[in-house]
Amino acid sequence: MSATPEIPVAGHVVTSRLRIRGGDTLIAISAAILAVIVLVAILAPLLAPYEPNQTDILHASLPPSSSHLLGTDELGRDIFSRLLYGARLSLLGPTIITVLAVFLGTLTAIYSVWIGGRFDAAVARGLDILFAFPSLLIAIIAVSIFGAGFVAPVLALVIAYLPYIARVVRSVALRERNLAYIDSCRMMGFSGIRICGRHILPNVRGMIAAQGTISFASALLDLAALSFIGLGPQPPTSDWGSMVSEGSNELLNGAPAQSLAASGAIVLTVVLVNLIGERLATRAARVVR
Amino acid sequence: MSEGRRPLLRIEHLQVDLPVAQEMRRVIHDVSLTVAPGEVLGIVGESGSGKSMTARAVMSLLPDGARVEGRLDFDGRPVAELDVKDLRRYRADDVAMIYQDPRAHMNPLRTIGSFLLEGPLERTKAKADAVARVVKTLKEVGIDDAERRLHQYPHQLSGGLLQRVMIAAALVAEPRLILADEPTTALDVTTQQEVIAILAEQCRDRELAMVLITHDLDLAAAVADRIAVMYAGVIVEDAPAESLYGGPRHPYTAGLLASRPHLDRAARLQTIPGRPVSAYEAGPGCVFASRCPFVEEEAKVVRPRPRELDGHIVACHRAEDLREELRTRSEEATSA
Amino acid sequence: MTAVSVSLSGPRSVHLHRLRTVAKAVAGRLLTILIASFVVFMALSAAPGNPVRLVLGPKASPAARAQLEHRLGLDQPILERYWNWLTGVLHGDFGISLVYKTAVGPLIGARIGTTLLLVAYAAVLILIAGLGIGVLGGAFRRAGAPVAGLTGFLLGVPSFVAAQLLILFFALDLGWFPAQGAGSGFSDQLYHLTLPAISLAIAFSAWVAQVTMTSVREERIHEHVDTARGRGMAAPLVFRRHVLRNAAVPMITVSGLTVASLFAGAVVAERAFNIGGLGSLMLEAVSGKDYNIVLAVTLILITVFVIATSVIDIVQYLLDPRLSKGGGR
Repeated sequence: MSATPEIPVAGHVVTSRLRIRGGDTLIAISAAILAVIVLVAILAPLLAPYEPNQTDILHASLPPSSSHLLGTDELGRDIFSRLLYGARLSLLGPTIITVLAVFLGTLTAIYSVWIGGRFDAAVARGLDILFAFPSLLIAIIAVSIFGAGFVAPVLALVIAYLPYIARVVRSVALRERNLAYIDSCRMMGFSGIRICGRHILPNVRGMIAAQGTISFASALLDLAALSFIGLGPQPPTSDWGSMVSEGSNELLNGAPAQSLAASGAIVLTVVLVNLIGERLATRAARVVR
Repeated sequence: MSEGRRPLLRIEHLQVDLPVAQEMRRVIHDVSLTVAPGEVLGIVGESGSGKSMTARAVMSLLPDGARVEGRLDFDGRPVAELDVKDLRRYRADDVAMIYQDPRAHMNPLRTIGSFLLEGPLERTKAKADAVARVVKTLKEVGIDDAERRLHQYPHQLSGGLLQRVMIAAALVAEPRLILADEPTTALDVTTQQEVIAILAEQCRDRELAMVLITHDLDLAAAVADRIAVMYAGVIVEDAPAESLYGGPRHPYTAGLLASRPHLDRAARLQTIPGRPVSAYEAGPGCVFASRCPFVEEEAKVVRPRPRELDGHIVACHRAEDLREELRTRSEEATSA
Repeated sequence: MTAVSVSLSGPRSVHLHRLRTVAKAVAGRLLTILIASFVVFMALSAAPGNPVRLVLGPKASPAARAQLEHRLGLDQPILERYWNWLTGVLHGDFGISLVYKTAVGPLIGARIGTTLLLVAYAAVLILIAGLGIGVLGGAFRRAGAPVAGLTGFLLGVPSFVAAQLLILFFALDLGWFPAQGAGSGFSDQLYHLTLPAISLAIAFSAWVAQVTMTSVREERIHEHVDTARGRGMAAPLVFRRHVLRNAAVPMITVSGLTVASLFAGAVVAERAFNIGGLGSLMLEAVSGKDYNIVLAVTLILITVFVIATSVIDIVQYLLDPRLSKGGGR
């Protein structure tokens, strides 16, 4: 479990008549805003007015103005530029985690179900054990072994989120595998890969997309939390989580700009991603029915 | 129809609309029925005819957002005007409903005993009495080891047993009217006969009125005093059971009779062409117009009003003309 | 409550069978903890960097190093070390902290109280708010959309973000609560831990509320609810007995998972509010490569999680007769 909870895919999704009517526009707007955020992150070097780590003690702790959109922090760095640059790591991390977790999780699940027997039982048991670890804990252990930074938390969270994807894929794969038509495929001599690719994967696509999206949001929150407690990218590199941490001292001293800006960025991105994730989950659940 | 006694249930020009996907859809166009005390009325119709909704209207248990027009009186009092307390008492004491799928209609986490005693314990604090009554009723519906069953859970009983429990629950409330919505459809054929027999016997013994809703015309004919045939939210024919069974006056009824498979000889299965429509799908004229073999132009435009003919109430423009035609057809169909 | 209660009488073989299933499940869970501790032990032991080096510094003599290694048991084969550690743990001995140079057990003992209080406080808030809002959102049709919207938003507010806002408003602006620290003495601690508990509670409450609301809504449309209404029972009674009771299992599951996850989440809250609890101990251990502490705290967290999931399983088993009583017509 992460510091903020992982949202299971099926069985909790909230639908309401009001939502559905304006739903599609909401999703479209969310996706658009997210696209803008991603674009901003990519184009940060072009868009940022200052270098993110350029200190300027003479102009420290300035309030927002026309030259510094969000003001400056205690070391005189432009908060707006830091926010833009911070987006890069804050978005890159979850992306890597999601892609790897989905890839490895799906592979593990399908392979395991395909082989079946004791191998499958062992894999299931292994996944169960992984579930007993809160994701934050896995990351902390990884950091204590490999040191803080970007890599250790990201890899650790891949391992932490893998079981969620694997479980979703496993349940579908198990169900599909037992259907008669898979046996007839085997009898006709289709190779395992072909069966998996043609018949099992398409049924699971929707749920993977939903779970993956939701995992992205969780990963973002987890990585931000890890950065906040100091186990993420070390200074001078900073992402949104470290900005909140660095900003918290300033907040106590009456300059909340950095902390709030980074917090807002995190919440905005997570909420938008969750909106899309929930919509994907509803759609996936409908297909199953 | 028994003359001179006030009808227990009187429905006049009932019209029901339900909210479906952001719009209101008509499920019952115009239904008028009466049930006398102790009388068994069978409502026969295919899916979509609105028969279940009629029962729910009687219980005042329509889905949220339903719009109801028309009159529905129980023992002279309009059900729609009952306040919350009176409505509860009406549902607890006067009417009881038996549902099609007993397993879905019982809480899987509670015992059979809890289910059966829920109703009575609302009315009385004397638990021992209530338990005794429940046990007695269970035995009357053919469950001998009643005490043991009280401690069991629904998933431990078969469908047939569960339906008997459902019947017992309805009887324990000592209602004056029982609404049985396809009580045997979910059961296998042998159990069907047993359950229906129990139901009919209990109603006779206790002098209860019953509305039996079914798609099975034979079943209705075997049990009911009177049969109302429903199609697309309209009662197309309403007559004493024997008379309707032997001599239908409406093309749809005749079609239903004719479309039953023959058990005695090999003959091509007759069907009514097309598929049953729901009330909101039916056009402006007669609801059966699209499938009626005797349809004429008038029927496509003007909805026929129910009128009396030979002791039947029929909603058909050509009822008189078709009398002979329908009689020959049904004789062919039922000749053994 | 129930007119006819769950029958506990039954053939003895049924009891034995049930005991055996429960025993098997418990054993399985213990095995999970064991394997997990083994994996973590191995991982930490295989870590790069030499703790001896850290403690003695790079200029220490080989003899001093060898002596310390022997004292710490680092010269033994790894399996033996694991065994020693495991047996030690079962006796309450968690080893020595490299950083503090004292036994780990008492270190944890001193700090765990604060964390427990924080977690318990947050849990109470979460359960009241989350379950309450969830039930309300499920019971009233029109409440569905606003509750869904609100909880959807709050799910995106992690505890450290909530902490910033809470500190800003309630500590700095309004001065109602202290901004940092854990306080001493029970009521003072409660006072200090209020904002931290709330910060943890926000996202978790949203989650609990969502699951609860969905569960209640699903149960509300089950046919057996209609049956009860149709028999003239009062609406609140029907809701309590047939909707809530049936919705209880997912509600309990999510509550249990929440409590289990709170311990891990406490790490973040402790950092945000500068509280000296188990979480901050863990963080210090991580930067100081104090593996005994890391191991010990990991073991505690995993055990809590496993206990929580076991309790959930047991409760589910007790609440749903379909699980405990097989068919038997």
